[in-house]
Amino acid sequence: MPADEAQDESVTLADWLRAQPDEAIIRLFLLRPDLATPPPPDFTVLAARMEVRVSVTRVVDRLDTFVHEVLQALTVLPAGASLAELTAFTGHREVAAAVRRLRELGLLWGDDTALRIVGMAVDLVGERPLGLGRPVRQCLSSYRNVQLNRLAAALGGIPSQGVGAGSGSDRDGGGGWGGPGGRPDLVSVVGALFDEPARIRGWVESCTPRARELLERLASETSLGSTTAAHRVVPVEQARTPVEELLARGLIIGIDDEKVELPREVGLVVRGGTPAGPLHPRPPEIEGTAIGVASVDAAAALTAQTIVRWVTTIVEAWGETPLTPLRTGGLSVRDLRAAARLLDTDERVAAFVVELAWAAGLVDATTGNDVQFMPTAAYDRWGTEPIEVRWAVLVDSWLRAPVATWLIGERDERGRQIAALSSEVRRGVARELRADVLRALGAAPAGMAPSAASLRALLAWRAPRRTGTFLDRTVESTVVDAELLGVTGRGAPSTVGRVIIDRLEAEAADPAHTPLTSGRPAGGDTDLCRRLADVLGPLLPEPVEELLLQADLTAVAPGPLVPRVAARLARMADIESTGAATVYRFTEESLRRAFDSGLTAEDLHDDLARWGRTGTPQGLTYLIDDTARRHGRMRAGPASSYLRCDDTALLSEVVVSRGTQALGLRRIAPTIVISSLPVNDLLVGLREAGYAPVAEAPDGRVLLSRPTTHRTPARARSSSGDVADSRLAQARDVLRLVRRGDDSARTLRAARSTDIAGFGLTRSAPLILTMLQDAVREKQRILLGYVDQQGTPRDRIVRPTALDGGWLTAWDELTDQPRRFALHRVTGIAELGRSGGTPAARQDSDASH
Amino acid sequence: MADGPLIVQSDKTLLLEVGHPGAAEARASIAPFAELERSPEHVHTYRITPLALWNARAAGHDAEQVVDALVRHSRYAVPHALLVDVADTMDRYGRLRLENDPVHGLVLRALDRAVLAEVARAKRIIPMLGERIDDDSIAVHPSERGRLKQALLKLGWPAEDLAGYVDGEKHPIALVEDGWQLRDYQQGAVAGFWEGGSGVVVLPAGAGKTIVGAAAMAQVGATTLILVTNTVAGRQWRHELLRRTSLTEDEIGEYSGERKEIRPVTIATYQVMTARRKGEYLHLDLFGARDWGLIIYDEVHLLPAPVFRMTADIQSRRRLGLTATLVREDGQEGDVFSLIGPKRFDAPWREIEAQGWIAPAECTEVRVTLTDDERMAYAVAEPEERYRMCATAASKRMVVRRLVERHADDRVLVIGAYLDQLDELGRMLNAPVIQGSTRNRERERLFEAFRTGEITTLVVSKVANVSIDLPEAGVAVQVSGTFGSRQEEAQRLGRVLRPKADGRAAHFYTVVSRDTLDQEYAAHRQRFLAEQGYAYTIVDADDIPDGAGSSDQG
Repeated sequence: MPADEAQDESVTLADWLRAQPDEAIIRLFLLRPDLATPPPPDFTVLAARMEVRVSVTRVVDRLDTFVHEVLQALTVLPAGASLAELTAFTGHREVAAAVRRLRELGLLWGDDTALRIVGMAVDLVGERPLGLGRPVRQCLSSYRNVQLNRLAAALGGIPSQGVGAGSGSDRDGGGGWGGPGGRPDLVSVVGALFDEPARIRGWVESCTPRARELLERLASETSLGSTTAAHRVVPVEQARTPVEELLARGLIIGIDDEKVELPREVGLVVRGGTPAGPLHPRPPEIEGTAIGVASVDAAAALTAQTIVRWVTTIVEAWGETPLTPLRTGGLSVRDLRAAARLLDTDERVAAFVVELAWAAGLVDATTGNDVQFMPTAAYDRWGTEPIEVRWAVLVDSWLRAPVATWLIGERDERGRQIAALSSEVRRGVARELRADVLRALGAAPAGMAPSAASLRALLAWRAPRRTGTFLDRTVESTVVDAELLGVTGRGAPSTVGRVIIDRLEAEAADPAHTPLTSGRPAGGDTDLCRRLADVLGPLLPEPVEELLLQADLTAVAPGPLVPRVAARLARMADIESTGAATVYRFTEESLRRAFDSGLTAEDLHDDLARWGRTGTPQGLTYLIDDTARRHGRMRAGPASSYLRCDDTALLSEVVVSRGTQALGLRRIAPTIVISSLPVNDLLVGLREAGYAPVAEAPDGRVLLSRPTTHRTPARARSSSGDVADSRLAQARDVLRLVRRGDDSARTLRAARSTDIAGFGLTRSAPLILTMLQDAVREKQRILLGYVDQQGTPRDRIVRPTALDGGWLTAWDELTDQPRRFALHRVTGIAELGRSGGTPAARQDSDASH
Repeated sequence: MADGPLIVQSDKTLLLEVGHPGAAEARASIAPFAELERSPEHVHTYRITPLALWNARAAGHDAEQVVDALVRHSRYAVPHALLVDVADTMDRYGRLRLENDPVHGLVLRALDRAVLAEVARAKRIIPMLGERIDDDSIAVHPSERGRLKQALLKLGWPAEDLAGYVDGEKHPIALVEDGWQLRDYQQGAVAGFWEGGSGVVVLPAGAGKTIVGAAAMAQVGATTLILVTNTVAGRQWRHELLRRTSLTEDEIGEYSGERKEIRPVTIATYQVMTARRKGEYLHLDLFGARDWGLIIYDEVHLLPAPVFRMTADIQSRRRLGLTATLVREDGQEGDVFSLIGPKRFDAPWREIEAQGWIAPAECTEVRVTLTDDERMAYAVAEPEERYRMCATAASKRMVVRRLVERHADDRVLVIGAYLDQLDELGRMLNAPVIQGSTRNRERERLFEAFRTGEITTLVVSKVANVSIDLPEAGVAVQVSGTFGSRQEEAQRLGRVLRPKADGRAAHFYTVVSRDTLDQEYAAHRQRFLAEQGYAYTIVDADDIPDGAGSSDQG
């Protein structure tokens, strides 16, 4: 591969990027927006960013099974392998498409003759791609010399031979990492024996059948096995079990006390014609139950109506009595239970409904100190829309809601119950997962309800690296929620569900499209809403505008009511049963409510005559009239004081007198006048107007009035000693401030005096990161500019060993100890050249130099 | 689906639009598994309860039929969750069976081991179970048969009782069908009971429950214990049995407060069964006094709790419950199901009425405006006196008189709850008063006189609520009642529902004081009537047409 090596020297990722057409880079930015924010100053920085762990993880986690398998295959092949080599290795033509995908995602670069993957992707793929073990030299590093010697003897190598003998590819075996002299050579000597597949094939063929069976099993699985004595390497003749035999022959290597590994070289030989093992170029087929489109849509339409009704019920109830959130935010368990009771359902569904109303912006928390949950103004507009439009708004909001409703009622890390509408329920990733689940549901043929297992299998194929309880629960809960909303009916995507799924698919295919899941535009996605409403509308039963009024004082609406009628009817009757139809009951209270809200008996009679298909029963007419007759017979009103007088003539005079006009007097009976003024003001006013009223106590006794004098509670007098103390405290505070200011100034001076320049430190943050990653990979010594916790900058010479989660772990040469450095405190680094590394590490990096 | 008569609501109620052409068919297919809750003029409401579903299972219906009936007749899509729930609930019945094992005697056998394991761990069940026989069966002491069924029902795993019945002491009884015949629905009821072994027959008042009882006795052909609500009802049973069957005076015994006879057919009252001294039931032995082949419970919805407990002990005897309604005001429907048996026959009230077996009724609420004095007295009355005040208002008397006069050529019952009011009415109307203290002999004499037409007006107290048989009462006027009790209303209405010889309509009047508690309670009763499908009208007392001769207008 001399050509490759030449190219390797001259072309870097940055160079390659520079040479790409604009469209390719734009697509890269669209697919990986994090690479473009903030805009990278040049291609070097862009190339560096493409190596950042978080960014690469994010994109690798989204690869489907086959593309991921191809990525793994590429890590097995030497860097710069051609597409043809890759095709031969995997045995699948489809790899070409996968390579294109990897390339546009920026995980792979170079043209089809020389494919290279970014270094971080190699790290993420891990040590055992495609179930192949690590290279034999890495495996061997866990053996002690005794075992290596015995193995070398068994394999026909010469243990006593000198440095580098028999090793062609091992160019820089010298140096070592400070271990016992000669050891790496032994590893490379034994390792070199595995360089020829033909020789390995010979060993494999000389195995007993049982041992070969074991080999094949290991090769087809993860290449790892458990055993009790993994380090026991005995001469071949003494081996009793297949494991002992394979250990003796070096075909498996004990990597710790209980684990053996099949080295990659052996694995490839055992796998023979299919070195990459079985790959999965196509997603698994969806299996399930056939339901039939008509039945699915009918079920979906029914649940769509139900969910709209539920949301309405909850929001209406909160409109009557707003709820007070918990101090920690969110809805109390008691309130959630009440909601469940109100809806006649369980708490899980109630939580979903509550979150849905919230997501749709129909309820919100009030601002200010006295926070309460109550309906928003948007609810009033929403409530007047036809049912399909209301539903569309709910579904649209659900798609965007960053909420994992299943978390409600679970315990958080501190063991506290997670409340609905609290911030703990909000998980950004929920939106994306939900879209993925819906798309997976959409893979089912029309009218088929996919089984849970096949849904999981498809999701696992689409994103194999995504696992965990959160994922599983979210998938389950999304399926349930979709059913509650009517996106699916009896488990199968409904016609309206298809509209959503098509939309999600279109977005997934076109990265330039604003993802539906990326956030909530202010008014929702009106286009999608309109389309959803248009599709749902014909599926819903025709709204009715008639009632069956019955002598038992019920009214049955034999279908969904026109919203206007429903709203008016809700004012005069109580709902007794809901569903496709609604049963209302007229009671004295419900009618009183109607009269209270301003309707008259005539209004009710007219309405009922208009709606009642079969006339109004006499009992109902009587009830309305009776209630109307009694309504308002008594009147109540506010008054702050009254004036009573048995002399009606005197009262008449007081009311019309010019002097009393400012007193707000109103005569409510011949002998009683009320006023909105407090009784004292009334008395003063009347006296000023020349009358002589007397005040009455609440129980009717006469009150005598005396001039009032005003007092306030006395403050405790402070003693003089206190004053002295407080002055002292003040002075102490001032001194403390002065000292603190002085300290920080000194620290600043000290920081300036230490000169860390002059070493040619690299100070660009992304470059620091890449250089550190390189240093970790290549075991380089570096000069690290570092500001410690006290704010003192220091330079240290370190050998980085790991870089993870914002921390650098490195061997500090100053203290001769490993130490962890916070990355954000690193001010710059400079390479000091190689300090050597373990043979295993070198083996790994061989490919890239 | 688009245009069925049925609407399935998510709260498991079914709305049946009566006017729909497919209504009759839909009704027939949902009746086995849904309880009719109310049947006003346009839309009848049925409810699917677990008990109703289990009743259907016991009658041999399966979940598939139920789901099919719902889906086929429904106008809109049926909530899927409801269908699943129906199937699940029905599936619970009969997972456990009570069987007679030739070796171990009574055993609880499981078709589903997990269920057996679950119930065998339940605290309430453990003491009732004997030793474990194998994985699927556990021995049960025969005396625990009833209590075990009760407890299993409470756990939601109702057991199917296949343990059979003892035949009891043979005693041939034959129906004597001279001039009358068993009606179709009565035959159906007897057949349903006989096939099921034990259970409840639901028939409206006036539909001839006694005859169903007699026919069942003839079918069983064994000694029979009949439990009735009171002595008068017992005498009527005796009277009917003598008339309808081959039984003679000597074969029928009365076991009541007055007499303690034990004969091949013994009629006992609930009252005597529940009589206690020092906490001991005095007459428990009656159940064991003979080797009864059949036990009949009249008015099973009134069965007192102690009798339930006794019934739990005699599960190997055939039991027949007779009632007009399965609804118990104490909510113990489950006990009826597990101890007497599942519903074996049910015929809707209106259907029997339509066949002409019970008379159509015209219900009228007459509103009386109280005088100012009465209103004032009512307004200041103590809360516990208020109902009495308005129910017994003097203004009602004249109205009652006008109603009685209006139906002078018919037989009129005036029913009330307050004795002094009844006495006054009796004096005013010149009619005899029957109340709790009236001796049985006197009662029977008066009833007989009323039957023959010697007396046309009777004033009766609450004693008339149940089981008196006045075939030709065409008019009932109720002046006061027990706080709007629905059951009482049904019983009183039942008084006038016996078919009239000339097919004229029955009249049911309720006299109510306007704007008082009386009206409020009346509203309850009206609701009940309306729910039963009786159109009622409200008229003002002043609007009652005067004089006789207008009674045949209905």
